[in-house]
Amino acid sequence: MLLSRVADALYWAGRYIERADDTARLVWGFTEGIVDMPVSVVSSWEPLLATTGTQDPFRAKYGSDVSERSIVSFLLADAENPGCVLQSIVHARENLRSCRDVIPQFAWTVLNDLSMYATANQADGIARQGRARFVERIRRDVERVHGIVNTTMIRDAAYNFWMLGQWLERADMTTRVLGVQAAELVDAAHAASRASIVAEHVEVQWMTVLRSVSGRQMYQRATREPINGLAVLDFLLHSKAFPRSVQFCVDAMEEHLDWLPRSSEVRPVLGAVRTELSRPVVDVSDGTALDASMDRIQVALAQLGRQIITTYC
Amino acid sequence: MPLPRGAGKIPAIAHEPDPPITSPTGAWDELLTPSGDARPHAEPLVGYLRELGLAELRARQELASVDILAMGITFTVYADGQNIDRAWPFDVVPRLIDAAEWRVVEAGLEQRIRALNAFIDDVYNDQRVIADGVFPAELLERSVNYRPECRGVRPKFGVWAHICGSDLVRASDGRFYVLEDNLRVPSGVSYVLENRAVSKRAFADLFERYSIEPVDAYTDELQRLLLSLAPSGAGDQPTVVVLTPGIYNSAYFEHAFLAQRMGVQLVEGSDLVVGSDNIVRMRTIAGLQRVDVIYRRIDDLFLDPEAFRPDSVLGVPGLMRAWCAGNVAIANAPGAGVADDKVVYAWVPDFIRYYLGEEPLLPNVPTYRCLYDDERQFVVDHIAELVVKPANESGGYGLLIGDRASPEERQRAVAQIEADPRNWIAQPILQLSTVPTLCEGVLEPRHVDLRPFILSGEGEYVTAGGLTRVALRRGSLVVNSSQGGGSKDTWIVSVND
Repeated sequence: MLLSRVADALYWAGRYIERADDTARLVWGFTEGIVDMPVSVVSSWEPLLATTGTQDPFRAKYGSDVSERSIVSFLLADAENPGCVLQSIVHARENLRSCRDVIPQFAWTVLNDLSMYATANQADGIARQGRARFVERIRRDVERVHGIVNTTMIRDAAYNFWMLGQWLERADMTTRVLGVQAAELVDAAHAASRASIVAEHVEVQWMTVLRSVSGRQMYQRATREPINGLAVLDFLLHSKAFPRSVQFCVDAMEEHLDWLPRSSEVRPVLGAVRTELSRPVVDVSDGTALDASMDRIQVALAQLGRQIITTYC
Repeated sequence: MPLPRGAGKIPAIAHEPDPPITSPTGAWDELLTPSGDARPHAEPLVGYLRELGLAELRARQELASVDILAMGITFTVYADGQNIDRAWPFDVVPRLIDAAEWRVVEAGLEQRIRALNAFIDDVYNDQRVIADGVFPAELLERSVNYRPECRGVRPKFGVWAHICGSDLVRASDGRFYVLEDNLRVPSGVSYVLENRAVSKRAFADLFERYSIEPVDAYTDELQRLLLSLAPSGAGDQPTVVVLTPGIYNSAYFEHAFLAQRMGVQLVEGSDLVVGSDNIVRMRTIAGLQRVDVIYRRIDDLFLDPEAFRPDSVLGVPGLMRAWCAGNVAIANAPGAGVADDKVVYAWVPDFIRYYLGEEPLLPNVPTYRCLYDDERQFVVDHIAELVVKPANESGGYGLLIGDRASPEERQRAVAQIEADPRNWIAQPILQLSTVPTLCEGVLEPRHVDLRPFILSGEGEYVTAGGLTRVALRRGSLVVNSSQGGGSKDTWIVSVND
């Protein structure tokens, strides 16, 4: 039976790997969205800070310098941002290092190699020119790790803990991306004079949301309709088929719990996430309400994370 | 295009070692004869290296280094106030040993470990060896690795040292000598397996020309051995664990590697608990689960703060209770290190005769014991011609090579010996054999030793070859990886003709 210490390391490795991947996707999705905006619209990169919840440490380091360069470098590779892509990979590597005996050897090799790459090339992702390549490498190697785990790892408790971490982190990130879109809508409502300009670009914004979670193509395949806020929200929260929707993540966690002992302690907390998720979708133009409901889901997810640690680790 | 021997860019292949006499310059080369020809078992390799050319060989070395980094083959060193993972230093040119010669070495190693285990079992039980006047009682009393806590314990098969790493050197007379036996927590075996994986990639085409004995079976043999040690209270599927001090230990890579290959849990001390029922259990996600066999990679004194060092945070309180009660097997058994002592070493040939009634198949290096006045006087008088070693240090620390030391260093050593004679032994300076090694882009002879690993339970098993360590600095005899040593793959080869 799996050691508690190892379960803890795997759960966190799952979270860190997902966080690195999600943050890389987020930065890239946002970069593409900004490129699509007319130059006349003053673009702000600050929503990236809000999404990752890093406003405070960022301000501590950069003050009012909210340039693209500062924000992107803070999210991709910064010693003072423990949640940045580079540090997430390094943390994942450290965690897996202490449980190399239970994970497929090649998954370790890929992550070890990625860790060396990201450390050596951390400056590459900061300028727009090199960003695609850097982000692509992160995504590609994380996908390789997923592939190796998926095709060669036995479905034992170690696997289930790794996956619990992954799905929990992913659900959290999806709600964060939606929450920040909500905040944008709030801003728009306040800035009445800018409302008309922003309204024209709401569609671009929702597209950015989809891109940030790599969901644009699949959204369109699934809904067969042009981008609209309510449909995007429903897709990212409730789709039973899209593997980055919150619903999908929650269903996956439920299945992993099925394989673990003592899961009856965790299920009620998972149920609380489902309850939050099942509340009817609010008016998507009401940013405040949307933001509040994303917050409630995040709080429920955090509670679930704590319960997993309390029960098993 | 094949280069003529001795020409072009590979002068070292054709280097001409001095005649094989016991002088510091007269080393035996493992691949080449003194006239620079390939030894018969090395002909295909040497021919291959000549065809390959030095530029391609350098490229292969580069690729191997990249593989080592990517495969995460590391060892940990403590430097600049922190623990750093270093890539495992590896030289692509393998060290070859003829299979027929190896069969003799193997038999010698098996004989030796049988005698060592008989000695350990004896000193913790009947002490016949002392009663019969073969081994001085005073040495046992003063041994830092003797554990009175182990008196009266009778491990299964009478075996205490289940995993042994013996260091062999080949002297200029072409013979293998045993330099020391590591019976506490010998490390290095994972690198034997990893070196093979790397050299298979570096020399994929060469493996077609040779029949090379595989090394991969080691972990299966180790697992079989550990399972065979399970106490009678264990179920049909005994639980085996590898106990590591944690990720900051220099051999952590190996601990993880072995656990992974055997598919057993890698545990730290804090993962285990011993109840008042003297049963060892580990903390799992389903609660506490019984542990039957512990392959420990923690030194005796840190194993159990109840029995040994109370400040140990690496160990498991109560582990000795559980072991003495026969509820858990520990490999190597606590106390096995009593025979891993450079002073006790000097008696091993006597143990072989005494316990087995056989003559040693593998010789010891002649050893002067500073404990005895006459031998100590000889050491003091001839210190410039001797290697002086503290009895209980590993990793090459505290070693003095007489002809390379300054007069002040020699004086200091003499003072240390006279202050604590029992702790010192001396041996003639052996000219370790050499193997051509890629050094700064050219092949030069570098000194090597060899650490085979011997498993003992119901029977014995010896690795096909072992870990060849190489002193990368010119003329250096210090092969430890913590002190600038490297490693080579070791091939046991059959010459088919």
